[in-house]
Amino acid sequence: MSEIPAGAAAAQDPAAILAGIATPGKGARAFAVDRKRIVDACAALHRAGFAHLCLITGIDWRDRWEVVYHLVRLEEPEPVVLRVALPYGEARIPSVASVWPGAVWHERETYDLLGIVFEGSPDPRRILLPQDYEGFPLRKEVLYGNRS
Amino acid sequence: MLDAETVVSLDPDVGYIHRGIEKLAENRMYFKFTPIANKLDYIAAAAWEHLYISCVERLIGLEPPERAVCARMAMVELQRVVSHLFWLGTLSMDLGQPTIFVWAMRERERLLDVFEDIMGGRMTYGWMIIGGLRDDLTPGQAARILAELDRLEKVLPEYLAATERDGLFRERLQGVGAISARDALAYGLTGPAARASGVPYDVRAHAPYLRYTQLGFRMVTRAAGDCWARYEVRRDEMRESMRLVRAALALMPEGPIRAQGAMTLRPPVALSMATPKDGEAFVRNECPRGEGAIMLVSDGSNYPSRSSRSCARG
Repeated sequence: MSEIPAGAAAAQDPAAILAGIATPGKGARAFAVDRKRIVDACAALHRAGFAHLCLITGIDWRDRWEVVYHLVRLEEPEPVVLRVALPYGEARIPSVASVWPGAVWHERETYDLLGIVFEGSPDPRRILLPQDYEGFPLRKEVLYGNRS
Repeated sequence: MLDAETVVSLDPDVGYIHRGIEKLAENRMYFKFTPIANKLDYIAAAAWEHLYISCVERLIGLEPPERAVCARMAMVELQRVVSHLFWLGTLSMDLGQPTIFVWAMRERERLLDVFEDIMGGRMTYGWMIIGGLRDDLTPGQAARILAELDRLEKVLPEYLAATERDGLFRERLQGVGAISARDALAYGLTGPAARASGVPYDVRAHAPYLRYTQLGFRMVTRAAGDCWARYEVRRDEMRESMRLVRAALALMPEGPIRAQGAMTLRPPVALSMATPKDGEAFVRNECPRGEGAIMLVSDGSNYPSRSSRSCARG
């Protein structure tokens, strides 16, 4: 398994995230999470009141993938952000559809455009592009004009 | 799948409508994406124009002047009225009331004329620019908005009364398609549809932007979660939005409409627009059909490195 390059923050476990957001004032609202713990972290935050999954998206950093989750608790204005770094050769992460069924559409879109596979998803199909489309257009390797 | 007249399961397929919006964003300088941001929802383009522009402003750390903020607020709320009029018209058409459709579209056209006067287009605008506005909202234009609101506040109750008197209209909506608050949250429903299911989530109240706090924004919710509740939420939101347009215009001070350093599309074309440092911004707005969210990642150049948007599921 290829290593996640330097630059990715040290992953935190769900208990540390819950402790972090419980701190009053302007505590950190973004947390790095190991991909093996992403379902645990999301489930813990869901139990803590983060009922609304606002956005799942992916970023191609050219040397690693990052999957970013924006979670909202109706009682407070600032979302909590979870970030999972993935090695460039292994664009795979467990699905969080068991926590929010609506995550499926976000995950399908992130797969469709970036080719990140959400393991265990009840519906792993593409969502926007034709099912027989080849490639993942938002990857930086896909050129558009003279830029990627 | 149907069981008699009840839909018991469905597999939504949006069809081949993907336009590569994010890839387009990543291949344009920030200000050149504004016309495309308008097309994220061409029925409510001002809402998405504002969402995109305010996300870039957060990335750069640029505050638009107060006059621009109030003018933007008046136009995004007027846009909500226009969007909800379109909803009222098409809903009525679908439920066999072409008269209401024609009336709602007529009122919408009058407001689109106002948009053309102020923002330069009926449907898509490019009126908001990074750091402010392309053109001022003049006192004459503000008076025109107020006159249109006077008219709409008089005729809209008549249209709604005509709609609601129709027994068929009620029957087709009441008790139909009920969604629980729990399901609404689980499936990511936002906007009027979520609020009609008793979910008290409106970004204008939850994480206020523009001047919603100062102007005492009142969120509209219903508990029933059926089509009728969704009708009531949008109906009452039109009234609240009209109040907010008036309040925003009343709050609008004299002063500049562009922040220091804001670029303009007009000659002389100033390309000295502030370039963001490495970093990212995430902004949510309450668009007419629900929550809109945009995330921008900057690599320090004047092109976005990664853009992502979450559409309303309303």
